[in-house]
Amino acid sequence: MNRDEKMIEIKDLFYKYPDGTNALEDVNLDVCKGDSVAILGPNGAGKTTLLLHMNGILSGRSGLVNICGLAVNKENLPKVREKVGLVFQDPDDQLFMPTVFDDVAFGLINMGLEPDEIRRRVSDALKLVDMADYPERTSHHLSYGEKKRISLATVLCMDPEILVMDEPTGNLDPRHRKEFICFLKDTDITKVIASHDIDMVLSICNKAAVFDKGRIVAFDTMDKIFGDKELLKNYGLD
Amino acid sequence: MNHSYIDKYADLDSPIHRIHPRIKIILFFGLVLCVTLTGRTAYLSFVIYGTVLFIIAVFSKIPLLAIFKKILAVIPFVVLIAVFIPFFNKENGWIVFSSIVIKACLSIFSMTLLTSVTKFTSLLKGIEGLKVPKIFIMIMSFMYRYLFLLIGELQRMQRAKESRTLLKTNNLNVIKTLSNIIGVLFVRSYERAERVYLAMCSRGFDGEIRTLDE
Amino acid sequence: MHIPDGFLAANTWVPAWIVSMGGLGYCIKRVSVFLKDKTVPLMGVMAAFIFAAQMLNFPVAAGTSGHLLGGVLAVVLLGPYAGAIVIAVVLAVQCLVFQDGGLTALGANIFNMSFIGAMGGYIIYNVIKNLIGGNKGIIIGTAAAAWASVVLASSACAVELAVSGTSPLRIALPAMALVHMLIGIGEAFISVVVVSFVLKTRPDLIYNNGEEAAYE
Repeated sequence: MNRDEKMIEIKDLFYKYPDGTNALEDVNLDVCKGDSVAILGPNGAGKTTLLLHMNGILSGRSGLVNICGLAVNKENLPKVREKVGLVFQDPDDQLFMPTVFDDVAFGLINMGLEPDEIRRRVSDALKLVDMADYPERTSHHLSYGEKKRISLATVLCMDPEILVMDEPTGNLDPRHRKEFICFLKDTDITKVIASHDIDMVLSICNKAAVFDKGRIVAFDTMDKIFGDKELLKNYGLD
Repeated sequence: MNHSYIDKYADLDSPIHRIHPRIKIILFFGLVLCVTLTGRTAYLSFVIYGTVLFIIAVFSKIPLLAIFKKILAVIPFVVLIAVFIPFFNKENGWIVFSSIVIKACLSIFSMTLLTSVTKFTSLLKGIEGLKVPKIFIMIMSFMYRYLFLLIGELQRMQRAKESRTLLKTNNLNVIKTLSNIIGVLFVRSYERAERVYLAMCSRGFDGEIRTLDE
Repeated sequence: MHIPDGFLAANTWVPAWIVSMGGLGYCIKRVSVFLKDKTVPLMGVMAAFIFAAQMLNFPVAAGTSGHLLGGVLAVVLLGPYAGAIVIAVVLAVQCLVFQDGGLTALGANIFNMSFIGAMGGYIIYNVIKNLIGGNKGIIIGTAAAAWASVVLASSACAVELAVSGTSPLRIALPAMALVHMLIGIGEAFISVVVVSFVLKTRPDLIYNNGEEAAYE
């Protein structure tokens, strides 16, 4: 694995909310292949806003975002969205189709794959998240933990090169949280995870970026970030 | 209204349940059409329709009482409009009245059976076959998907409000509070719709609604 | 106000279906141009919202309870075309799943409540809103339109019953209109409170409020 290959390259990114407040200021971030980068910081610091730039949902006022060398612009959006699998915080936002099968197949159909390939990938993805018996179920009957797993499957089936997750363990009960952490640890796919769950982040991630008021105030390996007691105290991470 | 009654009996198994949704739709919709178009005094036809429906109902294992209760839903309209007909229509008022009531009841019977033996999602797929534009099918599908979530949010807000109400307030305040809850629900629903849209885009949605043709 | 099957004659419910289908087709075209690919999720969730809102029991008097119809609420918040679609979708699901309103009569019910009621109400709302201006115009417009929409929709229903030969106009119209003039008061009150709330918290979500609509 070429550890220097830049999967995500963000340079000088500025973004303002529609009402004018600054959301991201001068953000620079490089994520290399195989990295698991934690995005830390208080609520409202801009973590989610940053994640939404990674698959082109938001585009900055200035600065650039490159995914696997591709500039995130209108032309490249379909390819970018195949490479970046974004898992949102609330699974109910991601499960919008009538059945579990339909939800997992949604992205695959948009990719233009053959029906047989789609069926195979759906079944593989569901097996991967341990929900193989669920394709015909309707999502509103599922428990929160089950929904979280299915929403992960909807993204994994597309075989992304980068997994971007917003609070993946939020609201999960201890058992499901442990399973989720094990699962994430097992995959060597490049990951970017915004989270308040420090323990999870410590066990999965190798790098961390600390956000505050739209700026990255620190970006380094986990050891260096969590070795810096002053830093942790200033941003409420201790 | 109880949302759990959608699909309440759709998971049972019977010869009727197993019929393909499109055929069920043609059958039950067709029955409604026939009933509505039948002449007012064709009592034999009504008896035949009723018998056919009854036989189907028995085979479907749906509790007849539940169907009967649904048919009673026609009563308010009957009381408001139909019941006056015999009074101002001296010639054939009773005939008109009875045909209206019979037709209304038979139609409800037919539609109740259809939805009791067919899951809503299958119903939508079947309606698609009737050339209803895909965009409406999708809108209804999304509506169905998020209905229970929103109803749940509504109930949670109602419960929260109730637990904060110490004194019995007058009706006006209750109406105001409930209306505010509706306002909250609107804003939350709108924001949810936007997030769902983003999630769709993240999985490659470009405006074209595609489905896997089974 | 959901007419069951059997009350209308073919000379009424067939044209009503045709007009409603044409109207909805036009509405979806207009909405798609505006919302583009956001159409399906937004319309779907909004239809669920109206449906859920209609389920609330509002205490009226002496133990009875009433419900919001939501036609004008839908058009004030979402605009005339989107509002009409949302109401039509709600009516369709009510017909299919709850047998609230007949199948052959669905065309007429959609015509009455989506077009006469909701879109007609929007015209009244828009005139008053522009006449008075500002938030006050929105509130007063909502109140007047909500009341009028209920009365107009029920009057249209009465006309259809008369044309069908079910009940003469001189009987059906007073019966429907008078009852709904009362119902309209509740509808107006609830709609105003909801719209006021949205004006306070997210005024950008009110359709055509100010320079930019919410759908950017």
